[in-house]
Amino acid sequence: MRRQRGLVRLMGLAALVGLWVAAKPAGATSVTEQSASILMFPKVIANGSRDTVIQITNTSNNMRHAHCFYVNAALTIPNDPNVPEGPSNPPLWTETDFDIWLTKQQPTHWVVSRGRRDPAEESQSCRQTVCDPDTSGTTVANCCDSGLDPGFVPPVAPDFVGELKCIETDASGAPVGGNALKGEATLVQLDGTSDVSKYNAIGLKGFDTNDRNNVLCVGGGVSDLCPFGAEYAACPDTWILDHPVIDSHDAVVENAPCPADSTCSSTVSANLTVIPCTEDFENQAPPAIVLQFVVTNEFEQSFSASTTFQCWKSIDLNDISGGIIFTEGTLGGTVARTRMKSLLAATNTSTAFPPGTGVLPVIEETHTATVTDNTKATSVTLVTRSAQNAHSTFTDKTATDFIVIPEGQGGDQ
Amino acid sequence: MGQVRWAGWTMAIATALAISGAQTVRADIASDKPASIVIYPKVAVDSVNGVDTVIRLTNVNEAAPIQVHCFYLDANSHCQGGDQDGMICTGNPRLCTQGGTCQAGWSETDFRIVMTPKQPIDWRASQGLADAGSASGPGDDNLPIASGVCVRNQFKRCGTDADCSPFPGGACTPSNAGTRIPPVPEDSFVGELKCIAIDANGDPVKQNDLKGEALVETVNLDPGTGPQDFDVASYNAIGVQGIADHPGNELTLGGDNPEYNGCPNFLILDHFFDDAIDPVPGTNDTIATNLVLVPCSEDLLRQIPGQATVQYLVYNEFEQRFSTSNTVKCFEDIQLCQIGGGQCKRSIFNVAVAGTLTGQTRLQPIGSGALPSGLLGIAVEYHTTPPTGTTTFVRSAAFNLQMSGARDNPDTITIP
Repeated sequence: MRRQRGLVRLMGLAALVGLWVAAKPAGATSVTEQSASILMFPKVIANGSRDTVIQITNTSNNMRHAHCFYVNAALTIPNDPNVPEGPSNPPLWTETDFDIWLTKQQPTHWVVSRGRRDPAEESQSCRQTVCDPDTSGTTVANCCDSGLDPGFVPPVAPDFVGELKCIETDASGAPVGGNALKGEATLVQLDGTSDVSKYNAIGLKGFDTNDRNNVLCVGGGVSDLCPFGAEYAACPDTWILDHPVIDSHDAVVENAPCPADSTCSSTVSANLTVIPCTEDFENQAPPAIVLQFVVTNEFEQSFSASTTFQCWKSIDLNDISGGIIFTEGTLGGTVARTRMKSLLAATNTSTAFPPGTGVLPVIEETHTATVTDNTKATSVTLVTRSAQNAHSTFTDKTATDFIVIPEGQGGDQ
Repeated sequence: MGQVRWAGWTMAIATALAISGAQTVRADIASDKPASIVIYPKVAVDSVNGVDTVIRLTNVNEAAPIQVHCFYLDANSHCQGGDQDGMICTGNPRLCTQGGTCQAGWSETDFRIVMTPKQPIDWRASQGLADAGSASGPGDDNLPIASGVCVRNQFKRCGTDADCSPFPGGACTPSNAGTRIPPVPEDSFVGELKCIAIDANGDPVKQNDLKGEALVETVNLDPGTGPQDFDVASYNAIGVQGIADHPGNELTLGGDNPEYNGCPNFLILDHFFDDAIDPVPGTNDTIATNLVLVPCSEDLLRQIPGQATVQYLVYNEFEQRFSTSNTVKCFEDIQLCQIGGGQCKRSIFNVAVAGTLTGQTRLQPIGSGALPSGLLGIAVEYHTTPPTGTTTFVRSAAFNLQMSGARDNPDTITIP
């Protein structure tokens, strides 16, 4: 009898182990073309020169809820060249959260600078009226906010630069791994050119191992904080970025017909925006992450660089490590491949949760063409931007990243 | 006693393995992971209108070179008969006068690329990339590493190890020798580019080391020919990851015995409805979206393109659903409101019909025709400024479609 009970216990334990192994798909990393349970928009800007339109869709046939966070990484004193980023002018890293809910297959959208409000009167359908952008996010929003109300989406603070993160939840606010959300961000230039740049939100798929508390375990294995192991897919270990060689020319522009008596030139640059996978919204303690870059040019020559960031960073590649490694003077050619890895900085002081080292990037290129009229000594500069989702390898981060939702905002407590 | 314990542990292990093994891992096509096949759905060249496409291709392997067999697929239509016989009539069927008809075409031009470890390369579709010979130095259209050098004598240039024999012998350093990327066969050109990892014998091989991007650029610098403008729309090439090697010229995607990941059952597009006004204050642009679709199945040997009947389910922000369908054969680059025929203003993809600014469209391809096929694609969103006098500016952004599920039936790519 005792032997039988022992055997049953053993088989039960084995079943639990099997379920744990089965619950985590092999090689599960971030996705940009599949529905997921956590959506991350690394580059969200509403600073007067650019604005952002967020689109989120529920791809399932059931109602879905999401708990969203804006993370404002603007400087404490923005737009003052006399006070650069530093100890006297640190990034804010403040978060604003809100909830949305979407019916089956429902898409929704909002303009980040305006948010989305439940209008005092039902917003008019675009069948009866035309969107007046000035009414976006107001109580008198017309066709611009037409649709089933997804919930109050607040506008962001002025001069906002940062990220948006949305976590799928159930009606009680507990995180769930339903994998029903997809999203896109459109960055719109407000200088009259209407230049647009668009990227897919980065998604982390959820697993059945979610214990529905306020500590979300991204990747990794079983631990005290993650008794059932990973609740969401891990962040990738290595990112691969293809980008133009900074300050090289745009070959299409260089070969385009140039007006008579004019000189035409071009230049390209690239901006990297990166956010950490670990975010402790409860303790407001962003980990310090080191980014290591190995840059390889067309001639198979490799160079290295590194930089450190906390919370959010948007940096032109030519501003990394003194601005030399990524430029034409060093690399030559027109295209480069950069492998980016992340690790914890030695100066990291976050102790509430052992921070992981995953990061999620978006890269945006800027192409500039200049036409100088030699007779009139005038010039016209044309600028266009284009965003891309980065590639990652198939290898996951092995350490767990944590997303900690403040107590009371969600989860079985 | 010991035997019982041993049996108990054996059963326990077997139970664990059985439960964990029951979970099937689905392999999905992705544009954010390296792959054995990379597909660029939109390659466009039109020198008259300042359009060109920059193709980027990278070998992500740190140690191993890679050989690639690529195919430009020309989807231009041409006039047959009449006084414009042979002229390109893509998007302009009325060009074919005097009894001519505008016939859709599909022809392939193939070439090979040899890439060294870690190497990125790029080229303009209008120019290609070739070895300019010893007389020319580095240039936009020249191979980065035209030849290698013999390891034992670095003053001796070589393309392969055989070039170092009999003296000094030894190996030749990796290079792009053997690469010749032609320009696209026509100007103007519209179509796709498909690149497949191969081994030294030219057989497709499972080597998930390729990644790519495309930049569709439109530039006009001369005010005498139109408004000065410059636009770049970039997207990630779609990667089809290899699962198993299978020598031969028929590549199987998905299905019961896949060699590569299978094409999705659904494509999902979040979009603004056509003629929607940009909701960003201070813009007042009009938005339109083009859908670019290419078939998963392609018989490049017999020049038979894949075909699918596409069912579109369109949801607006009121959760109201509309539907339509059309047939996609070989290539399609179509504005949403033109899907299903009819007038744009009356289309279910028009904002005045749909009633909200944005929507979700789910595309399900049902294979049909001589070569039933799934589909892959991208979307391009166009923002047109309000006219200043008679001048408008158009800026665009390309993005990858979302994919869901896996097709029951396999797709096949047959290469020459």
